[in-house]
Amino acid sequence: MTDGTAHAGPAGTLPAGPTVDTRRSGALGFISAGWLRFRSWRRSRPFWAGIFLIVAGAELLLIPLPLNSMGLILHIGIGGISGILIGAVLIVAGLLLWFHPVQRMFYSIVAVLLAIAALVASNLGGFLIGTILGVVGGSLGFAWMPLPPGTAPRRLWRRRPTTPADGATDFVSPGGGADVTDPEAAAAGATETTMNARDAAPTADTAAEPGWGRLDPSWGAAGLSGGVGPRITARYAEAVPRAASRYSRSAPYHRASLTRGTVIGGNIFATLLSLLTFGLINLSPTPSPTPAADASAAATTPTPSVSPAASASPSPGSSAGAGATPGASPTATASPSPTPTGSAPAFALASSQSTLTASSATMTGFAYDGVVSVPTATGTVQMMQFSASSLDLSTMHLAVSQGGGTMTTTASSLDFSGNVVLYATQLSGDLLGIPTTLTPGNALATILQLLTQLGLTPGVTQVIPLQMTNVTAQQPYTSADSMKASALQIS
Amino acid sequence: MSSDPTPPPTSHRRARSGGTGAPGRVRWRRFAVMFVPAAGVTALLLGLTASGALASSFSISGQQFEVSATSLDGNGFQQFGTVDFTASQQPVVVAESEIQSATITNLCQSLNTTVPVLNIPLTLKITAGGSGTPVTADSLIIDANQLSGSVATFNNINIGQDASKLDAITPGSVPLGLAGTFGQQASHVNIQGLKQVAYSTSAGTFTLPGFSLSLTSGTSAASACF
Repeated sequence: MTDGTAHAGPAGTLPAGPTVDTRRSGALGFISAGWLRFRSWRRSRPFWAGIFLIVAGAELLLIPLPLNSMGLILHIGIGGISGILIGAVLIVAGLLLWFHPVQRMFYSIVAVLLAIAALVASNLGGFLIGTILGVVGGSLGFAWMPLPPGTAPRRLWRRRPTTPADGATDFVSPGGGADVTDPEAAAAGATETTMNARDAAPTADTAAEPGWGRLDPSWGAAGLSGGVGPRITARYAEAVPRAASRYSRSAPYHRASLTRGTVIGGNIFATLLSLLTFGLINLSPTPSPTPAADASAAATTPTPSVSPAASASPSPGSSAGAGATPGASPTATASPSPTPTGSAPAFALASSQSTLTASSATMTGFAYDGVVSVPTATGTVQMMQFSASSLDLSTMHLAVSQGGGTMTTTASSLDFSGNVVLYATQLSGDLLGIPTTLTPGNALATILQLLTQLGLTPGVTQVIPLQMTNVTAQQPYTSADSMKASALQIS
Repeated sequence: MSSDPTPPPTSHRRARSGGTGAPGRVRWRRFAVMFVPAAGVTALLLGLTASGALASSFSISGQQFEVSATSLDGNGFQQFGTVDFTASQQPVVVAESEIQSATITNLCQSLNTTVPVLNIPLTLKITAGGSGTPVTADSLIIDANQLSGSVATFNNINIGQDASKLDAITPGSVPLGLAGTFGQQASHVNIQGLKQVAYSTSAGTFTLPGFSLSLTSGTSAASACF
């Protein structure tokens, strides 16, 4: 049916077009020409496969991608890295399908394998979406084949007005080997193309035989560029030599675009690769530096020797029994404090401003152990040390101000038990109904410490729990063998 | 069907059949050759994931999502305050919780998002660990700006420790906070009735026995975890 010679007749009827030609020109002509070029570009490579792979890659890449440097430092884990890597490679594979379709088998297989790997490696394959798109895209790329020469103009969708563009490459260049230099041959080729294109019309739009004019609106309706139909018609209607030169130019154009395409493909590949490596170089050190340094310090130094890091002060730990020694705060630094036992903090404490309040605090086995020098990131701080065998807080509220924000932790009850140790720079509340404030070294604290030294407070409070109400502790640090929180809320 | 009377020399066609200038199309039989086995392997991996035999790796960042669980039990717990940024670059104060290894019962994770370009709101929900076998996660890191639990128990807890000196989790395996910031750690944690609004999460390995994934359009509360 698609017989070039058989349609020599219909081709003769073409001159119906010229009127259209004069009307369609300028910007519209440029647009339609651009559209034609794009379409022939699109059809000469696995376009949709590339689209699928690029979307799949972008989806996989964006889910874990932190959009700020701080997030990058803190949160890129192995899952994030693999998501970003797989996503980037899928995007590259999609682009390579476009710009270097010769190797489409390889790119497609790589894309399918990676899309499947993403299922395990990254957020369940971007919550399945990325994996599905990637597998479909890769399969499309794998399935894409250039049409064998004879079948090129056959399919309905190919019979649209682009056929001349395709036809030009299909028929002109092979027909006249010297396509550019031999205008006659080119002209002949163009005529042939014209026939083909003309032939396409009835098939594509069987009802619309009456002529090109009838065809135009249907293209417009089909959502294609409205100018396409007439434009093509116009081209054919124009003097054949001109059309010929056009097509003969179009053939080299294709080849030129091919080479350019490859180069572009190569460039994009190189660029993405360098971006990727750059990203990796940037990434790899960032997650580790702070933690690694800290970690190694913390890892290699057993508990007592953390203090070197926090200047030469002795470790703050002092057991409840040995509370007397550090009590005299100035000497505490000089006298070697007893080896830290139990729950004594072996680490630097937080220096962020923090306040703990509770409607009531009930303590058993309570003792004030004296003032100790506690290392923090900003230097040593004098803090009071309390110990207890249990500490129950009700309606607890902890506010920590740092980094320009405040984080609050609340709980309806917070019960500590076993080797409870509390450090604070200030502790206030109503003790037996009397407003009380304890600060390192103040009179009340000294009295309390004496009581402890006499062995009174722990013993007595073991039997009769000590209760404080409206408790406020500044810079609190608490450690215990266990803690139970009810209605815990952090925000 | 019918052949062209004047086919161009095949050699020439071959030369261009690299998919460069020549138009082409998708051969659906070829498509099936690739797609069917790929879909089979995908289904197999999903099956293995759902049975808990295969672990997945998770990392989400920049979007707000909800996490809930009836119970979370973890060994090696660290928590400290930090600042995250949303996709629109808004700073959010978050509590970063890190758990070295966790078992989670009735895990639910939902994500409200909009499809870019098309601007369609979507709610994505994953549930797992509800059918007897709990979810397990290693190196779980969650940045939440709201976290709540009906009952929480901690062992060997330190509250108020320098966040850069936490060591309840093998040092080096998770990021730590900035020096001087407020941190806490415990050797063991158990949280009942966990609810979190989170901005970022990552887990090195995550087994999701009995997982189900649902995608609903719109952002109704019914399709989210809580």
